[in-house]
Amino acid sequence: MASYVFRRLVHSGLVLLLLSAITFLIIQIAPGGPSILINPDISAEDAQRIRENLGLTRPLPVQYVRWISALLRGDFGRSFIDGRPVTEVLFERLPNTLVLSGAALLLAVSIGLVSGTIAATRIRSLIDHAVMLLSVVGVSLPLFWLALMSILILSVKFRLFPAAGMSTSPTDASVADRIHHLILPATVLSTVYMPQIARYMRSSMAQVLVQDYVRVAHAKGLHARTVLTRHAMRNALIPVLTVIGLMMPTLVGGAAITETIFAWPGMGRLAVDAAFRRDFPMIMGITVFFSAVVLLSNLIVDLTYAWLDPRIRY
Amino acid sequence: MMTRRQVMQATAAGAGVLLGDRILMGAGSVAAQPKGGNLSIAIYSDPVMNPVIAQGKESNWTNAFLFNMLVKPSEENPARMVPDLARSWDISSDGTVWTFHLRTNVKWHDGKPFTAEDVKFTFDRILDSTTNTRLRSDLRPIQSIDVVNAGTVRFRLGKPYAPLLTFLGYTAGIVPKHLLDGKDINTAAEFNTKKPIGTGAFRLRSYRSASEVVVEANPDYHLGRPHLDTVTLKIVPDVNAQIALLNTGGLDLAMIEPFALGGVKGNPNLDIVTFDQMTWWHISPNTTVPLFADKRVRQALTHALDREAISKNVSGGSWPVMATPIPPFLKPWHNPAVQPYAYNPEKAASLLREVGWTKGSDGMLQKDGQPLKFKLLWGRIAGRQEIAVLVQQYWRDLGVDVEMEGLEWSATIARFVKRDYQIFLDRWVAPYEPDMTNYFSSSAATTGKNSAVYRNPEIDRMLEAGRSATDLEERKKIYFKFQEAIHDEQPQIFLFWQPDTQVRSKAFSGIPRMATGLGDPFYYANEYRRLQ
Repeated sequence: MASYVFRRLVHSGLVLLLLSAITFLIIQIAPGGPSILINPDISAEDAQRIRENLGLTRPLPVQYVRWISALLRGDFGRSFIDGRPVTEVLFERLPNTLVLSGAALLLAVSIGLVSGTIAATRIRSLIDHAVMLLSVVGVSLPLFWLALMSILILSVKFRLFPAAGMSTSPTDASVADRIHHLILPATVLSTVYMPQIARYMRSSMAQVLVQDYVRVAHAKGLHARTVLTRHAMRNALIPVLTVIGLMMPTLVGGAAITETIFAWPGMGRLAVDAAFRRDFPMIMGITVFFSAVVLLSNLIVDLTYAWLDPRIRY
Repeated sequence: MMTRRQVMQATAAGAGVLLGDRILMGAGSVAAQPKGGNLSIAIYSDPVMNPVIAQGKESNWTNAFLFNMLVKPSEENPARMVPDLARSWDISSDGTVWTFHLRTNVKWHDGKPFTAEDVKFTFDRILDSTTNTRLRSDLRPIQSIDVVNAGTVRFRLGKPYAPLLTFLGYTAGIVPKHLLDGKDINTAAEFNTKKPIGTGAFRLRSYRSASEVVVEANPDYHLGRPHLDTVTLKIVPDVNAQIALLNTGGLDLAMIEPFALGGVKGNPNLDIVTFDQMTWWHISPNTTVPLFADKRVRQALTHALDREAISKNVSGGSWPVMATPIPPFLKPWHNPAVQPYAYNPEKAASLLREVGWTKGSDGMLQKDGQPLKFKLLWGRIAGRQEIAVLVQQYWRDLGVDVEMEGLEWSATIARFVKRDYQIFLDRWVAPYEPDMTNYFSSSAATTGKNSAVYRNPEIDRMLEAGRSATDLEERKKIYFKFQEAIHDEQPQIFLFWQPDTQVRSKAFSGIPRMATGLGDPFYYANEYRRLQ
């Protein structure tokens, strides 16, 4: 087990190295360059000077080695735009994204599981059709459209929710004010996850409900609700949990569109801004951080399998 | 030395000194009016709160609250500089030594006195080639800065440089020596993003990245405490969200492109106001491409466009068609005798015929069996596509085969910097200055903003003379001639002026009628009042 974990960690390290090298290369060959260099307001001569100051005139391999050796010392570098340390910005944005994506995921899971289960127990009923139709609509609606419409109707027209931001004033905001600001973006974002969860839950539960052991449980004279929650639910959840597990990295990665439209200061927006401005250290920092989280969570999931199911051994 | 009057005329700073006094008097005499309140302004992204290394609107706007410049644009005429930290100035008769007399009652936000040392420090940093600043190229003619005494600073130039005053008032805020000396100004993140210390009417209260910047009234401001308590610069990246916030009272002021204005029209609490600014749309042929080397081709391409109709289509007609890059509002430099080319497809066709382009059987122009064909480059951001599509249509009607190259913005600008295009559609944002060296001189052909890669010794001579002229009348004459020449040469296909469109709440008074782009109105933020 220990040697397996060790091997996996070494693998993850190599994958991370490869990923960072590819990202490094891609951002270098992307047309354009750091936005402070391609601003038409600066002369090419000044741009060249700034490029030298930023170390961008060195050969690519040299730049990469310098970057990676700084990284190994825990130094992610500084933003090209405002000179702030990349790690400082990452850890400033991370909690905001955790709050938004966490709330959205929680909403999606709770409503998705319940509605999927209800649909599965009443296959081809009106409620089943309604849940399936809604999930198709949910999957099909473009997120930006839904976000703008919800702002237009619920914020501008009916003034029920604030249109944007995390709080009325970030320096002195009450919990109630923060929740008030969270409801709209979290609900809109949850529509990304909810339909998937509902559909997976429905089909998984429908399969479980026709299993022999469920019939036996019914035959024993158990109450229908007990059969559902004590016997069927546990097994039906396994594939759904995998789906939910796959959604977990977005907790850290953020939701660029939702965060941009609702002016939510999260990771997704940071990543998009960094990409548009070609803020190389920031792009690299986000990529490495996010990849590390994905690799680590995969490792944890694999280890959890072995713990859950004694037949799996490493 | 020149007389005071001559100095004022030569630098077009006349109204300035008087205006500064009027502001001082005004602040004291209206105590009965309401005080307090907050103004919320929309910015698109995080600012850098250090004017020396800052780029972009968000930084220019934020810094206008926190810092002062030596001089600032006047409310009446943005081309005229009025005192900010400098009380007054004299210029030596040969135009190479500028002496600025500073205000002596100014304190930094941390209580330390502001002196000539800070001015010298700021411009030394700007001129230092290790500083990542975009201010340097405009201020390069400065050779040295000497501190005469705590209240006097002297700039020495290599040769006369008339635009100096404009560039000193063009986002060039003064930063404190005692906090930045000996530090790398590029990476001084503690100062640049957390604890900026300026002399401005407002000082930083709090800043949350991607969320908001809150500045509060500076009680020791040298023109008196501002009337507002706070100003909040909200970072809202999406224009639709900005409009939603304007409509719900979450924002009081934003600069909105005309394409997005529909969302705020009809709101009784908001005013939509437009101001003149030096922003023009152009299509720049790369004149090193043989096809565009002949001015008749460039003239023909201008004559072939119904620019009125294009403006109507993309701006509802609010963008006036332009004749030259010196606009009617830029007094006294604009030459009213030079008028825009008329929409005249026949004239366009005959000009091209002179050069040898004739219509083939397919209706397209050709010469020696070759079609008249080129690629039009533009960036996929605000408005470019709408204009490009119409331009393509007009030129096709003329018989020109225009291929579209619409690219992502960064990629577009990278191509521009390398001058890697046949013809390029974009807009320029210029300082309030008739000096067009950066746009049309051969010295800027490959390293500046000369988007037509245009080289013309006669134009170069005029631009050089205009820069170093010390007499107002003489300088004016040079720019009048320059406008005639540039109009005839048509190095760029000049399209239209884009005024600044500001959406603001009716709840405020005292916000000057100035274009927002460079943050000019915010240098007057001490005069704003909230009425309700």
